[in-house]
Amino acid sequence: MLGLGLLVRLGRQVLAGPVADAGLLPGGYYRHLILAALEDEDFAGALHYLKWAENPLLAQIIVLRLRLLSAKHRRQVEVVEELASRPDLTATHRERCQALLAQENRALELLKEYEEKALALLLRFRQIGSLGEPLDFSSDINIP
Amino acid sequence: MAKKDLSVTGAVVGGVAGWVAEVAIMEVTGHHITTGLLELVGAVAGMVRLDQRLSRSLTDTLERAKTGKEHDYKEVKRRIDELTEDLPELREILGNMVDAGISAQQA
Repeated sequence: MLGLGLLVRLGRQVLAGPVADAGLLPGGYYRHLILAALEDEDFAGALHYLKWAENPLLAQIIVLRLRLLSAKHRRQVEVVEELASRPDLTATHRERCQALLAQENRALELLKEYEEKALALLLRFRQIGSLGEPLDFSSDINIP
Repeated sequence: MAKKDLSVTGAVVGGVAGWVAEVAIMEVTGHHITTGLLELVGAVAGMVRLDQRLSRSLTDTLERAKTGKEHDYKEVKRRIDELTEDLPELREILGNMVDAGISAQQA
């Protein structure tokens, strides 16, 4: 049991670390990592593995998710700006609004940066003509 | 076929014994055997069901395209069209999903 435990741990560390980061594993493994990262809303993680997955559809999903999130932040910015412009606002509240606006703008910049990276990878996939492995999900789609 | 007897007590004892063994090994070696095994099993299962997870990801993305109040698929479609002008494959897939939703709504 002890040997098995050490073997599993060693295998996990090697797979999750240097081997995975070297792009040596099958594309399916990277697609699994990207989907897991997307489920956790970890865009940095998803983008990190995207270059090895070479799947344009996943890249497009990431781009759309980022755009939807950006749109949400932009709506929040509008609300905070509207709130900050109210004449009856105290100085403390105004400061809080400004701090919130700064955070929202930083988030928007970061999302834009991620989107540019995803689009650059998508362009690369298209240039090398990678269509990704065909995935049949037609029977699994549930319309919300 | 011989009748199989199931023992709840046996299952509980087995479970506790397994847990004690895991804790003992973890204390002595500092390694989580079950965590590692579960992670590997999870990764394998995740890779096997990639198609299903991708479809779930698309459904989830469509869900996020709703702004909250509406079940108006036409509005969702307009929004997706606006955001996916340069993403043709995704636009087509999501468009088909929304069209299916509109048809289901009309039926």
